[in-house]
Parts: sequence; structure tokens; C-alpha cells
Amino acid sequence: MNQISERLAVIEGVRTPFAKAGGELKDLAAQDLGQVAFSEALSRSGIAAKEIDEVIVGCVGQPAEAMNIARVIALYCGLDQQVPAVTVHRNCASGMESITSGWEKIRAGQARIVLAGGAESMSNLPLLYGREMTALFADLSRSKSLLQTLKVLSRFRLRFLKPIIGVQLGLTDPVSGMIMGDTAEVLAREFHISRQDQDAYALESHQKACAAAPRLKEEIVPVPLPPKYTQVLTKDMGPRDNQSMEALQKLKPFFDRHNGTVTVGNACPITDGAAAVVLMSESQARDMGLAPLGYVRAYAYAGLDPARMGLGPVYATHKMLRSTGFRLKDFDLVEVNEAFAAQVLACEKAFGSESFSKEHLGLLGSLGSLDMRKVNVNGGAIALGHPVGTTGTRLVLTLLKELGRRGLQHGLATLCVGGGQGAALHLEKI
Amino acid sequence: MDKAFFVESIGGDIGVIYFDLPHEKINKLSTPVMDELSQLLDDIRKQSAWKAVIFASRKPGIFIAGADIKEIEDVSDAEQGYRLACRGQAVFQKVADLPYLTVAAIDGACLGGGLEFALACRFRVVSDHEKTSLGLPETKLGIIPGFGGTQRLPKVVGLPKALEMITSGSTVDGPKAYKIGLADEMAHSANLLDKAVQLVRHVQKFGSKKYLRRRGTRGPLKWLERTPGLREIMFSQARKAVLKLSKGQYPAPLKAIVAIQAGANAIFPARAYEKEARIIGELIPSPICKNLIHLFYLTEAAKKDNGLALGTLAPPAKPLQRVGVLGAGVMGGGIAWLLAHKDVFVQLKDIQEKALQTGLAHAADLFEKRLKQRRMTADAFKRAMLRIRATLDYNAFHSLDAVIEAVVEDMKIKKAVLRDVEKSVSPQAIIASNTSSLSISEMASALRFPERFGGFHFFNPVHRMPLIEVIYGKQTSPETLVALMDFARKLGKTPVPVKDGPGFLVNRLLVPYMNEAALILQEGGAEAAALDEMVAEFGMPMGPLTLIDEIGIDVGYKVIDILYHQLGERMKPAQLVFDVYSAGWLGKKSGQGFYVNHGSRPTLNQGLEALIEKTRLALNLKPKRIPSEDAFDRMILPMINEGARCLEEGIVRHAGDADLAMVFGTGFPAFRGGLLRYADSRGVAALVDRLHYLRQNYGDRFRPCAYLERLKTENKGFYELAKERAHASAV
Repeated sequence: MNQISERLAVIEGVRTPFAKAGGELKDLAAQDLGQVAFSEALSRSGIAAKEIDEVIVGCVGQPAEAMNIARVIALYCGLDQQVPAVTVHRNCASGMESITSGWEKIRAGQARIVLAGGAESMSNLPLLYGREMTALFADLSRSKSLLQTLKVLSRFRLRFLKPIIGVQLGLTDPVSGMIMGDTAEVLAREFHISRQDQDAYALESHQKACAAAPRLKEEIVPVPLPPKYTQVLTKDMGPRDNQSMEALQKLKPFFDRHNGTVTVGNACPITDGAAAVVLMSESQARDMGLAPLGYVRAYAYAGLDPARMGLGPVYATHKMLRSTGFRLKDFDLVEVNEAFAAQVLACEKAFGSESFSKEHLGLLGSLGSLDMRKVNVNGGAIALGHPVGTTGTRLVLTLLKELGRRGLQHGLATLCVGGGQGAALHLEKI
Repeated sequence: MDKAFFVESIGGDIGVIYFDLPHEKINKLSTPVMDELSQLLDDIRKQSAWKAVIFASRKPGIFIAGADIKEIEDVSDAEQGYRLACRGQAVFQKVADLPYLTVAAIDGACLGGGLEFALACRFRVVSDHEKTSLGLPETKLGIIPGFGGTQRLPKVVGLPKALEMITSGSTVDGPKAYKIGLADEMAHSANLLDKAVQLVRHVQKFGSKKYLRRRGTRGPLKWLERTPGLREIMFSQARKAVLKLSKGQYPAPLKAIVAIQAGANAIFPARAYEKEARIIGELIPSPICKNLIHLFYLTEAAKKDNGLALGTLAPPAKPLQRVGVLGAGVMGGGIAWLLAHKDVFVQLKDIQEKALQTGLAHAADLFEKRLKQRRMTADAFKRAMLRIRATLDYNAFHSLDAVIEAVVEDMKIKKAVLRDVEKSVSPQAIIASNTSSLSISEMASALRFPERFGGFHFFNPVHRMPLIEVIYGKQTSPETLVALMDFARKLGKTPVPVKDGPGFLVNRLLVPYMNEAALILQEGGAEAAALDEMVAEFGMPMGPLTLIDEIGIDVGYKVIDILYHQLGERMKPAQLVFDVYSAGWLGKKSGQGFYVNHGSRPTLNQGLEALIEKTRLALNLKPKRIPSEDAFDRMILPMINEGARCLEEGIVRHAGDADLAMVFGTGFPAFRGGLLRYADSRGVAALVDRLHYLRQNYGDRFRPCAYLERLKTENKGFYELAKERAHASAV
């Protein structure tokens, strides 16, 4: 279905540096980060602001003060008031959803040029009051006499003040009741992935990301840091030069204290950052005489067991390849989002496993083995971080830039999605 | 004349009178208008059906902008001025005496005579529109409110507030006017008339107590104001505050206090009105008033000036919304601040991360000051900072409308940078240089499309100095010039178009001023402090030696030297400047130059005396005292001589350009109307003679230029010639 239509051209893209939540970018809200990335992407594309037909932003933890954050970002960027804007949410794939939604709008003739991307400030996810405290506030505002007020107040207990942590809530799947780390533990157990392997993978992610820092600068726009603005953040803060096996192995399992293998060292950190791309149809780009970064040829989203959401890339990639007839081994480079080392390694095993394919995908043989030398050549989310709404856009941006640098043609960008989904995009350089 | 007032009525018992001056964008009070109003007031007095009348305007954004300045300008003797005021007072007294409720419904500018009219009404309602502003700015034109403003405003807002508003000439917006009791009600523009009617109905039903309670001074100051002896404290404090700001050079605010005082202490109010009229009568013909009006006209003209030869029309320029700034640091940071502050999206580029940090920190610092003064919210601060993109590359430059270059003052580097910029920007983008001393035409030679290039000379510090010299080189296109003139206005600055030439206009005029002071010093002609005091008394904001300290001795020396090489002997740097520079005294930034800058106020550099001695010995000069009038003219007259040369060479189009630039760029005393207007006041012929005298006694550099000599032979002043030319071009 996808392959018969015209490809989507990604004209230009850029992102902010990524920094761990509570770190350098903590004083910037998601819409602030979005403003920097989106206005810069537009500037770099050289396309006039008035040419933009739609703005689509992926954002998972939408700030309470910026409902429909896409609209807020669009106006902050100085786009015309007549340009509509929509926020999309497919959890960790929101940054990809913004691109594929844009593509659908272009294909349907609803837009010619779309500004898409993601923005996330996990630093600014709120703490919430519990049900009891909320009810107390509501009753207080309703009480009409002093006596009534006192009566309501007498219900107050200190424990009401215990906040509910927004981030924790967001990272928990309400259907299975599992926090994301637990789903990674499930995969580690089922695919027999040792702590040692996970830590080794995490270490490699840092090493690759550190080596790639000069290359990644090409896709980064510096961000001046409030409140004093005496510093400008020019690079990702996650990758550690001094990361070592010793340091990784000292960490205690975070989710399953007794028998677990997943630590904060071999999982991605919660992170702040935004990314944006300028999209149009291939023919439109040709007409305008533009040289796109690359193209999206096909994509697919797939659902699966929420408790095993980490395998999402396998399901989604399978679904996409089934429709295009392309083969896994023909991809020159692959970006698999690193939510957890255990989860990426489980995907590797599942891709290569005949029995998995038979049992879960209804295939006769395996999808083909994933050549790990092609995977995440510039490091992944374990080192760079994972601003949930943004990562999908970053994968596309990073992969297209790398295909260009290496003169390669086919790229696969894929990620797992909390709640049990997977996303896969087939990118092409020329 | 077509009529200016239109009468309607609401519900039979409320009259509405609209002011709508035909063939004008604004409502102003001229003699014919006052006559018509007077007649109208007599007529409506007889309207027995009316219980109330509401005064409103049909001009968008304007209630009444004030009296007709042209009429004030034409008054040349005190008696005539006095009569003009009396006439205005009488008409407004008719408003006050109307036998029913009167309400001014103010939506837009309500200034000067306009506010005095509104004050004569019993009530005022204002809109909360951003264009609504109320005030009595007369003192800014060297006069005082003369239609009863000094008498009625204190009754409405109380003495302290009235003193402050009248002496400073400041304006208040709708919400503030409501808050201080100047307005009785506030509404949205669309509901203003309804609100006025509502007020009338309320007063009819319940009386005016609700509104009168809000009038006058509130709080403990009320008792001070009511006690005759203690009240004087308020006046003496107001006087002190005025003197601190005006340094005694502007009489109008002090006279305004006298008029207000007369009203506050009057047993017979009519006497105080009489006093007000007498005072304005005296002030109107004064040169200070005429000079300030002259500047007012120049400023108004600059708001529309497209920079081309006078009378040349040009299509409006494309607004510049996305602008690059090259070179961060303090200057670039200051420019980036101004741009972001005025809603422009900025790409601030440097080759060093460190410089970017300095620039951004400087911009943030300027915003933070506004934040602390509560002139900006924390969110607006963040939004503005986020309009600035800090970058080390040209990746996003092809989307920019314009680029302003503010890199180091070095022709080679500038040319290299400009070549790079041109490769990165779109063919339509305008490129401008913020150079203060390098040739725009030569810089343009580095570009493939030099017609898009011009100079955009900010003055330091960017956030405070109101002038921008817009420089056009040999190849600068009219479109580029027009766009840059517009852009300067968008930034809230006053632009003056200047043809490319050494030092452009302002620096070229300032160099002989500073250099001559150093020459006098090294000749032993006067003390440094005496020189600075002399010109401070004249009204300059700082003396020449303080000025060169402020600029930096190194920069100052460099600029003098550049002009010396381009303009010749008359600009030859004083040896003393070089010696001070060689001694490592760089001025304010290094802590000492001609003065030592530690603590709150600069003190004389103790080492300077010895240095002057050494310089003098080296030059083999004997110390000689110089009469102070000679010293003064040696500093001031070369500026005039150089200004005349600029006119001769077409550096500026006419004397007004030079005067505007000097007042806004150097703080040349506004009450003197500008440098060349001052020259006219002394008489060009006398100045030429004076220059010849200086030439004979102090050197050939004082030789008056041909332009001045011609003015003398034709017996004309700078402005007479300018007027003739404007007339000739209009014909």
C-alpha cells in the first residue's frame, strides 16, 4: 500500500542538544525547546514562514500551561496566525507520528509543506495531588460557611500531601500495570539476556555517542540557558567519556531489586529535548529546486502485548516489510531506539529467531538477522537520552544525516512504544 | 471652513458632541476650531432638553492631540501669547460652566490642550486601548499648560501627582489614568460611550459622590497638601527634582510649579488663571521654546523620512523580521537585545562560543534590568531571549531578511566576513555594517551585489542611545536605504541618513571637539576640569575629556588618527592623546584616563599634570593661559565648521539632519535646538570672524570653510539657506 505512492521528502531538520531531566535544560519548558528547534529548522530550510501549511508536534507529557503545544510553538516561532497546528500522541513514537501524520496530510492534499517534530521537557512533568487532596480542595471551594470549611479541613491528613510523580505515572502502562522497566525485565528473562550483556551494550552506546559528538553537532542548534544565559548548550550532555564496565556493574537493579538486571546504567535516562523537520512531497521539493536530507519511503505501526512492548520494532518492521517486499538485510543502517539495553538485545534475538517468527508473526522463517554493526552507529538513547515525544524525530534526523555522510541509501528507523506498540520507518537518501 | 464638531443625542436628554477635524488625521485645537467650539458651547447652553453632554472624537486613536503647534511657533511677543492663553481659558471655562453634566469620553491620545479640555469637563471616562494616553507635555516644548491645565489637574489628581506629571511632561495610559483618579471610569473602546451614559445615569440617580471620592490626593499626604505652610514642602521638593534633571537650563518646569503654586494658594482662582496665562505668554516667544519646537518638527519629520533626497517618494520597504547579527560580544549582544526586544528574530553568530556567551549574557542582563523595573514580565523575558538563536555557523542565514555586521573594526576582516555572509544569504537580503569609522563604499567592494549594502551605525550603549546613522555608499540602492531607515524606526531609534565619508557625521564632528580639548590642555591653556565644566554649563551632557574617557582613549585615538589620514592636518591627533594612550590609560574601561574612575564620581587623574608637563617639554611648548572664551570657541566652533563642510560635501542633506544627529547622538543641548541652529543664533558672520581670529592665534585648522564664507557673504544662516532650497525643490 505504501510503496505505490510518492515518497515524503524531509527537507531539513535540526534538534536541540539533549540533557538529562533536571539538568542543563530544566528551566526551559517543552514549548521553549520546541520554539528553538522548530524556528531553527524553518530557518535552515530557507522556506518562508508563510509557506507552512500545518504544524504537527509530538509531545507525551503536554505541559498544563501549553495545551495543544503545537499551536503554542507555532505562534512562538512567529508563524502566521492562520497556520493550523495539531499535537499528536503515540507515546514514545509521537515524534514519528508527527512525521507520518504530516505525510498523510500531504498525500491527502490537505497540506503542501508541514513543519513536524517533537518537544519534551521531562524535567517539567508535574507532581500531582492525590484523589483525596483534590477532593478536599473541591469541597473547600464549595463550602459556604466557616463551620462547613472547618468541617472539610478536619478531614485533612498529612498523607494527602504525598505527591504522585507525573513521570512515574507516565512511564507506567495502566493496562498491564507495569512500569516500563519491568517490561524490560520480562524480555531479559524470556530471551536470556544477562546483566553482563546489557552493561556491555550500554558501554558501547556511550563510546559510540562520544565518538560521534562532532558529527552530531551538525544536527544540533545551540541553546542559551536561562535564567542567566551566561552559558550556551552546544552538545548532548548524556554521553560519558569515562563510562566503564566497573561503574556500570556497581549499579543496583532499579526495578526488580532482588533478581533484576535492568539498572539506570543500561536503561535510557529521562531527558529534555526537541527536534523538528520540514516535510513536503518529493515532487514539491523537485519543483522548488530543493535538495532534501532524504526521503521516507514507507512506514508501519503495529500493536503487541503491552508487557512485552520492547519487541515493538520487530512487529512494526515485519508489518512494514510485508507491505513493501523489502528485506531486513538490505538496510544499510538501522536506528533502533534504546529504551533499554535488554530490549534492544531482545529485538536482535527475535529478529533472528525462526521460532519467534513462526509463533508470533506467522512466518515460515526468521525476518533475518540484524547486523549489529549497522545499528545505532552514533550511539543511542542509553547515552544520548530519550525525551519521549522527541526521539522519533531524532532517529529520522540522525539516520538521514548519517546515510548522507556515508553515501548509503536505505535506512530503518524503529522504536518500541509504551503501552505495546512498535513503529518503523523506511528511509532513503536519494 | 468645514465644521469640526458634530452634534447628536442619545435618548433625548444626553447630547453627544463629536470632534472630527476635516482633512486631518488628528484633532488639534487651532484658533478656528476654538472659535467654532466657543460658538457651539453658546448654542448648546440653550438646549434645555439636555441633562448631560458627552464629548467624544471620531478619529481612531486620537481624542485631541493638543493645541496647534504651528500657532505657538508663530507667536513672537508675550502679549500675543498671553491673549492666546486667555482665549483658550475662556472657551474651556464655558465648558466648565455648562449647566449640566459634562463627560469627556477619551479613546486615544488626549494630550496638552486636549487634556485641559477634558479636565474642564466634570467627568472623564477612558478606554483601555493601547493608544490611549493622557498628559500635559507642554514643558517638553519649553512652555506650560496654558488653558487651565496647571489649575485643574491638581484638583483632580492631587498636588504631588500633578506636579510630577506637569513638570516631567509624562503621559499615562488608560488604566493608569483610572488608577490615579484622572479618569472616573474605564471601558473597552467599543463600550466607551455606553460607559459614559452609565456614568451620567448613575450621577443622576445617586449623585457624584462615588466619583468625587476618588479625586485628589489620597492617604496621609492629603493633610500635608491641605495645610498652607506644609504645602510649600511639596513645591520645594518638586523644584529640587526639576533642577536635578534640568540643571537649571530649562525654565518651563519651574515656571509650571509657580503657576500650580499660585492656584493652590489662591483666594481668587481667577488670579491664578491669569498668572498661568502670563507665564505662558512669557515663555512662548523665548528662544528655548522655539528651539524645542524646531526639534519637535525635526523629530516628527524623521518618523516619516525615507532617507532619500528631500521630496523623493519611495514605495514602502519590506519589513525586516529575521535578522542576523555577526560578532557577539557586548556590541553584538546589545544589538541582539534590541532586535529581540522589538520582536525581531535574531541569528547571533560568532566564531567563538565564548563571545556568544558574552553577547547573550549582556542581552539577558539588559532584559533583567527591565524585569526588575517591572517593565517586563518573566515570561516576556524568556520569549524575547528565545528569539535569539546563538550560532557558530551560517546554516540558517539563507532565510534572513538582513544581516548586521558588528565584527572588529578592521577593513580586511570586515571584507572577508562580508564575502562569507554574501555566500550564505539569499540574493534579496540586505547587508549592513555597524562600523563607526570605516568606509562603506570600500567595504561594498567585497560584495557581488553592493547595492544591497549600507551602514547602520548604532551608538554605544545601544540600549540607551536613540540615534542610528544610516550610511549610504556610492552603490547603496535607494531600496536598501529606505529599508534601513524603516528598520531603525522599528527598533525605536531615530534614523538620520548620512552619505559615506570619513567618520560619517557625528564622529567627524566630535573628533575636533575632543582633540581640541587635548590640544588646549597640552598648551597649558586650561585645567581639564575647567574645560569640561565650561561645556557642561553650555549644556553638553559630558565634556570632551570625559567623553574620550568614556569612549576609550585607544578607540578615540584610533578614530582621530583615521580622520587625520583622510581629512588632513586639521584633524591631526594631539600628542597628549597619544601619550595618555601610551601610558596605558585607556579611560573608563581601564579605570583611568584623563580622570580616575573609582567610586561613584570620576576624579582628576593625579598623574596627568606630570604627563602634560612631559608632553609639553617634548614638544618644546611654553605654557600659556588661554582666555576661557577662546578655549570654549576652540572646542565648539570647529564642530560648526566641520558641519558646514558636511553640508557642502552632501554628507547630510540639510542642517536639520545635522542638528537631529547631534542632539540624539551626542546629547547636544536640545534647548539650543541643535548645533547649526546654535550657530544661527550666534550669527554666521560673527562666527566666521571668530574663526579667522582663532586661525590667526591658534593655527590654520580654524580656517572657515567655503560654505561658511558663502553664508557670510550672502548674509544668511544655515536654516535660511535650507528653507530656500526646500522651497526651490518644491517649486
